[in-house]
Amino acid sequence: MLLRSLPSLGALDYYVESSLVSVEDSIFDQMIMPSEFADGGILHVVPAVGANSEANPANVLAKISRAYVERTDEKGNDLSFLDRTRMLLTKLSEKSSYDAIFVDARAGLNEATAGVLLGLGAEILLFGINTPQTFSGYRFLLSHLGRFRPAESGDRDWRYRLHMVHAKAGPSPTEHASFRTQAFELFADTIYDQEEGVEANSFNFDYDDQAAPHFALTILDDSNFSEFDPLARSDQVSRHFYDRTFGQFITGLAEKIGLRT
Amino acid sequence: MKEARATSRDLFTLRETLARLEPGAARQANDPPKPEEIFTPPLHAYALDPQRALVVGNRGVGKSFWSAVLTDDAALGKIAVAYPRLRLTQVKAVLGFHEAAGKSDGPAPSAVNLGHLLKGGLKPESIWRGVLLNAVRVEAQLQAPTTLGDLVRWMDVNPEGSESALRAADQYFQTRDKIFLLVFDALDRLGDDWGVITELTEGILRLALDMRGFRAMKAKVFIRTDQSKDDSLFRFADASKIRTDAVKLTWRRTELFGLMYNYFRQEISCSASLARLYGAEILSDFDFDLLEKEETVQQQLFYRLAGEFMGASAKQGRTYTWLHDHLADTFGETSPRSFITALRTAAMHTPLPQTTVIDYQGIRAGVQDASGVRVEQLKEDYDWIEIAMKALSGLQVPCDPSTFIARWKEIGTVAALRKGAEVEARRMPLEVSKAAGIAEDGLLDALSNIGVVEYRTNIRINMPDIFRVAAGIKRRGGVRPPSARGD
Repeated sequence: MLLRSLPSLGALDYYVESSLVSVEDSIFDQMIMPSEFADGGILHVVPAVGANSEANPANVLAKISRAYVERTDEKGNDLSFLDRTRMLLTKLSEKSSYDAIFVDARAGLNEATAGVLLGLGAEILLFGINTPQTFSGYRFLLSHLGRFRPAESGDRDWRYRLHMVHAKAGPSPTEHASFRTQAFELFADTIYDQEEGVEANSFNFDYDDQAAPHFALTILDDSNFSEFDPLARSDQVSRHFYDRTFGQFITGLAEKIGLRT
Repeated sequence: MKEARATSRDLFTLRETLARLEPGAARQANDPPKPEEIFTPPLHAYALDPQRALVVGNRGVGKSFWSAVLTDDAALGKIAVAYPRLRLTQVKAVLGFHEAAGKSDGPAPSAVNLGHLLKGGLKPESIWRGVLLNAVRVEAQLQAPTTLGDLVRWMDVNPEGSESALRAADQYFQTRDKIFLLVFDALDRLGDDWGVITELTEGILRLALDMRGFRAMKAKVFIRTDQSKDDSLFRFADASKIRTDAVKLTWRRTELFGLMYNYFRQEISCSASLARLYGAEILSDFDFDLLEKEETVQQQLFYRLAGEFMGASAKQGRTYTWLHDHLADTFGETSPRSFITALRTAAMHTPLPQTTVIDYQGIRAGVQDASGVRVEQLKEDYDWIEIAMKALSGLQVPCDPSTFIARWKEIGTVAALRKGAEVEARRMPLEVSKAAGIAEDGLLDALSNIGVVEYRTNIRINMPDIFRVAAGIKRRGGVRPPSARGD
């Protein structure tokens, strides 16, 4: 979607390769392609699937099932999916320095990838529309993560890195509040700590606390973006066009990851 | 903002000032504050506007304070400058009822007298018209009985005479370009039971509506939030004119921080320290007026006073908003007393911060303290609140409303309140007295009407920290694991 032509390899090729052998550095160059949407800056994209796979689509499903396999390296250490993801990001960011790296991790959420969410130390955006399915789906993830609640919360508590995003939201503040209410219920049941007074070492928030992970950033529903194809319609990525829909989300996100727009 | 020039001595001075803040006690309307004690938030202009009859406010937002200011010449002179549009220098205000009515001079009748007059068969509205006529007796050049009961009876048999007397008074004020204001405060003290209070309050509201017909004589009625939500008060014809026009007396974030900066302004050494923290080279470069009302300026300077974050980074929230949010009730409002208490505690919190006046740990402690103070403050108006809240200790919020109801039933809270109400009706919430169904539902409504409890959905109620902490109620979540990383 962000590239007119794909690089020969994608992230999937890296995972398959690294589940078998130590990968050569040259593979990383073959995965990166600059996008033309960089407005003055640099925007590099690593697609999940590269041009080679597009040319041989019959192999892709088999590759996906191999991608998660753990490997033992030459020194006898187990290399988990997390280790390999960490290595991928390290290698990719060695060549250029980036202000931010976005990882689209939605598809194929399982125990291996859930571990990656925490292990990378990244900020985690949990997108969802206001449906029961959203909350029941995230309940699986957050209940799993809830097992790793620290005994005492502090500045570096991983739970601060989670951020709900209310996608395709209607315009009414009541609807946004209703999403927050449900998100609060979910977080309270899974990863928040019970709190007696106003305690620094208990991780807890009120419904409308803006610092809370459940306090969703909002992306409005906008039919102009239902067929998102910026290559064909470059106006979809012009600021005056997207600001009303994505403005609050972009400002909020920039603030959370320490970028000033 | 320029770079701060404050020394550690400046931080010390500012901290000392905060630590010495007086949260202030409840004020009575017949006890005016000293002019230098008055802070004039721009937002309060609406509540002071002589054209706005009904002013609604919770405990501790300044209903009695402004009643006292309006009816005191020196105090009124001071605020007239701050609110030039209201032309308050033209106002002559008299108390029509207040907490100490009958114990001080003036036309305001005591609750005992009112009860006596009602029992004698006089109608509430007639009684209040009598109070009005008594208050403007000189201007109306009235030749009529002086005691209220006799005057009301005289008015009943001399409708034309009394009407022309009131018209004469209106004319008097109008030709002198004056506005006469009859001020009512502490309506919950009008009687011993809610029946009498409601009847007399409705009489006041009827008079206030009627006085809209005069050119230069107006009523100003300060009323509690819970009473203002009582529909039975507004059933008379055209009552909606009064109700729709009501002004809410509140303190928003900018007003509260303005109040704090205004304290710093009072002492020259302290304002100099603040100016240096701001980065001003000389004191006269420093615009205090702007600081008292401009949010961004307030915020930036507060970050120098308290640090920007409620922890190591923005993730834990920012001090300026965090402090206010955690002091707010379900309407998002807070009282100056809670705010000042929190700041004072923060300034006394140890270990003392090295590079700021207060820090986020102090602010947390401040909110914790303010909670107790706020509940005490509400108790001054709502005697019943302590019993109702204590019963909930140990529960968790947000929760199903039935959790609260079940606990009250189990402990027998409503029965305990009824017992207290045998002595004085105010010890029972209005909503319970008037509840048609289950009494405990009325109790929950009462807490919801005064901003203590919020219905988030039909099956979820919540209580903000400012009340939750003092009540010993927990915020829902898992019990913290005994040691790190699930081992």
